[in-house]
Amino acid sequence: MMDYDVVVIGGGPAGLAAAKTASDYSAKTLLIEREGALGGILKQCIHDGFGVTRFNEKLSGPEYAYREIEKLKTSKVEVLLLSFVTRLKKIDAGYQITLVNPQGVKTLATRKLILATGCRERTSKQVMIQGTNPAGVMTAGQAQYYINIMGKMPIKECVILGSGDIGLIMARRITLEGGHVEGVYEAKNTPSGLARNIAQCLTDFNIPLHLSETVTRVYGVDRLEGVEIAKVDEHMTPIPGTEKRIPCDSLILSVGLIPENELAKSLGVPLSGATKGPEVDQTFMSRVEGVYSCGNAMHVNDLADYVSESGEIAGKAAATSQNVEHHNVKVEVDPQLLYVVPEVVDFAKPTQDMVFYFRAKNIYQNKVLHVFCGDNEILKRPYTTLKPPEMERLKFSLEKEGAIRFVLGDK
Amino acid sequence: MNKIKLLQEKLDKECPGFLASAKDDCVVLSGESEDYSKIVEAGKIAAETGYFYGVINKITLKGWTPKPMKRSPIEDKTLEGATPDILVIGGGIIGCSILRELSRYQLSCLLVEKEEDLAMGASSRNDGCVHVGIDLHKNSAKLKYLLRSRAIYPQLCADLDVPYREDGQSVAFKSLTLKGIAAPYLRAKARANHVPGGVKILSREQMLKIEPHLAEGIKWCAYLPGGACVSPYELTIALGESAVLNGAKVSFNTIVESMEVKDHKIVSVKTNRGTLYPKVVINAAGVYSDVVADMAEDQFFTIHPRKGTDSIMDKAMTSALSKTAITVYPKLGEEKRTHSKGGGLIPTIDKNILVGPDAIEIPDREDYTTSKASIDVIYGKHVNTIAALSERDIITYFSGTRAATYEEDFVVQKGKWTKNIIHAAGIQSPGVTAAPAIGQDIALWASQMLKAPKKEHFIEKRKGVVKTRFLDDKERNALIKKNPAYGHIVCRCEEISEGEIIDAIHSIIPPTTVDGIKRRVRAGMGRCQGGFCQPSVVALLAKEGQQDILKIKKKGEGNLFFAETKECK
Repeated sequence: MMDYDVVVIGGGPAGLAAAKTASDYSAKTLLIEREGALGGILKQCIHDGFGVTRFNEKLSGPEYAYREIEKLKTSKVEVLLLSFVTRLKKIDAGYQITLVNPQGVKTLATRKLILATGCRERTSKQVMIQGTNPAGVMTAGQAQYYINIMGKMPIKECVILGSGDIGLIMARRITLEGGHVEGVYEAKNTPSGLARNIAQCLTDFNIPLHLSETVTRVYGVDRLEGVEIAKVDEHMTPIPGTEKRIPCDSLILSVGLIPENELAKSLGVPLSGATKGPEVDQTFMSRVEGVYSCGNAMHVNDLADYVSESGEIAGKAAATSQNVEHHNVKVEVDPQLLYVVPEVVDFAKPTQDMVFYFRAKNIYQNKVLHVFCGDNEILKRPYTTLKPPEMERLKFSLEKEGAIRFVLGDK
Repeated sequence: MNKIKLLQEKLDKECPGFLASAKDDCVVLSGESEDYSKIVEAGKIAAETGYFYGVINKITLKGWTPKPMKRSPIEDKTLEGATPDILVIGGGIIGCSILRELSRYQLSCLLVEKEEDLAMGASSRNDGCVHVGIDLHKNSAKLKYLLRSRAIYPQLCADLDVPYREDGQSVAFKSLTLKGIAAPYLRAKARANHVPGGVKILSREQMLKIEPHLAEGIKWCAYLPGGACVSPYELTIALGESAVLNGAKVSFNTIVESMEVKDHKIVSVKTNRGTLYPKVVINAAGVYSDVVADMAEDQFFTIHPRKGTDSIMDKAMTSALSKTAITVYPKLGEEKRTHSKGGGLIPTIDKNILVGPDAIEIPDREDYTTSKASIDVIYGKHVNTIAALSERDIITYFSGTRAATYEEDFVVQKGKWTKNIIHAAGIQSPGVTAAPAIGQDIALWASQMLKAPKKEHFIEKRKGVVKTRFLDDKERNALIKKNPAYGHIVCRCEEISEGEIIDAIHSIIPPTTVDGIKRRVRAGMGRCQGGFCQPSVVALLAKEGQQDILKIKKKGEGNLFFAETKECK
């Protein structure tokens, strides 16, 4: 006996859209969220810039989440809050889910599963920062939670490592809140965040950005007292002799996000080495039948709007697709590209209006992206600039089966 | 004295510039050096002569001032005039094991610990291996206490509700030519040392059945099925709690500053919280045990701290990879004279793999900093043990300092000159393994000194905080029905519920810091390292522990917050 057609795990923007869409396509749908409220990380993102493509206006994170939650409320989606999935198991024609929540332990069965489990932040130890282990070393998301949700200032004088978007947003937020940001340091030779965030969060507040420099060590036994900064070479290895010590009480890390796929792994879902998310087809189904992925669990996005879009695609497919004999064709990716999602196209499934996301490996100027299917050029799009931090999106249809290639050429 | 002269000659030849002099049957080394390794070497040379009862190494490092001991800023009189029968100095696994055994007797016992919690030194900075003693000297105190403790361990852990697991340990060899010499030697050593579980010499094929991911190039293994593991900090806290349950007292943030010794007897002990007048003092001060011995005018050994660094691998990636602790024997010619075990890949009781540790002599007793060089060394050394282990799966790393003496053996004995002190000093590996029997002996001696009989009722059992993740669905459901907080998962990486954190906050030795919660229930020990759960832990510490949230600390004096945000002011 199946309790649900579709169960979505994770109530952030991806899961909200996936559940709403699955329900719109008449699937009996359950949304499971481990926190006490829906919205995921949007709840703490009080800056604006969300919803430009989805709602044609600039919203804050909580506003964006509110709109998505209100939409969800118009559907028949059942929601379980404070519910933590402890176990997934393959059963005939679907999956068995075991979860705990303050009501007890619950086991339920579903035909399809959508994993919208988001991502986590890389920590100081994961970027090999050495020294002591004091209070005051925190990820940008953690600092954001303390300031925006709890209303507590964990920072007076800080150094930010990593120019990822959350780090940039936090540089501004900390400044507005009366803290001082000594500088943002980035080991790469180009910024990791969106250009608009560099301008609005650093330049406008006179916060210096130091490229090709990184934090190698922290000082202070109980509370942070300073950090050691070093210049890095082209392999991002610290150069001996370039070390300098900067006094500060906090180190904020914005050094990358890792898709959370522990549940996916427990079902044997193969992950892509490039995205760290499940390998998916154009319906965002993983290589395991009936298990879908979307949002930041699939690949790290830079805009919530695309996270919602991927949820909708997965939600619709999970609600409507029948098990078919697969006809998977792997997408061949130009070596100048970091990745293309989806990784495969299943020609047994609809190939109309497929959405593809990709990122460049390096910064490129004046390029043309060609998409080929067999010998036919399906799409040709010029780009003045392509950069790794800025995800690109394409939408196209394929009429006929063939080898699919993404080729990046010169203008 | 002839022996002193002989040593002086040896020093002048091998490690010149230092002076040896006699103190009874001990030797005192003095002088100054610019090279710390020379100071350690002089101590080793003196100890290895075997001429002396103990080595007191007073050679100073030129231009170096020792870092002041990490200490709480608290100064008060809460302990002023206290007259406990027994004062135990040090809240590590040794001090706590002694305290628990002492609490079997009709004695008033007080343990003082300089930090804000138990297990803050080496007891929380090691891999939790419960060793079998194949590498130990036959007549060592290390082996004696290891063997006696191994017989106690399973029941002790059951009584204290602390997990204990025998996964086995193994030494892997890349050289087949070595097998002809090493295998018979190890067999003989296992017999001579009464190694629990013995040793099995396994071919690569046999070992693959135990350890399917064994790396290429490993030709054979010496497998020690009796090797086991425990959580060293969980056990330390459990021992402490059991002692308190039986009437012992613990005082944190309490630093022993000096002692008044008259006629070979400690009269009083001055601390930052008042002067105490104990009848018997027990020295379980870890890396500071020689300093405490000196205060008691009873120093006949010297601690030379030996730092080790371990890295911790992600559970999800590595639990499948290693079934047993495994060390690769160094290639011939690479082996250096070392007194610490080679380290290796060690699955912890919580199924993370630890990689390490290394061993570096350092002058600072509490230098717990890590370095990239150490990570590279331990990783480079052990990465080839198991296929598919990747540096990217490291979630964190830590360092600790071993309290090594120059004799490289435990000092478990009554005072040499001072009558009312007992030492449990120089405890390095296998200290976790040996702690139970050391506790028994010292408690017995102390009770004999004070002619104290045993209590009629001793509570053997101590209940730990429930681990909801290990319950079956039915038990877990029943527990949540009784208390819904057990159904709210706060630490997502380690699956720790709010109920468990609340239980820890209200436990018999309540933790006051975020790290204290971590050591008790594992919240924050997973792959996100507290990124997600730390705010919830902080909020619970404030609410349940009735602390001002702005004063919540990660550890020690390390406040997490400075102020309310503008909106909240």
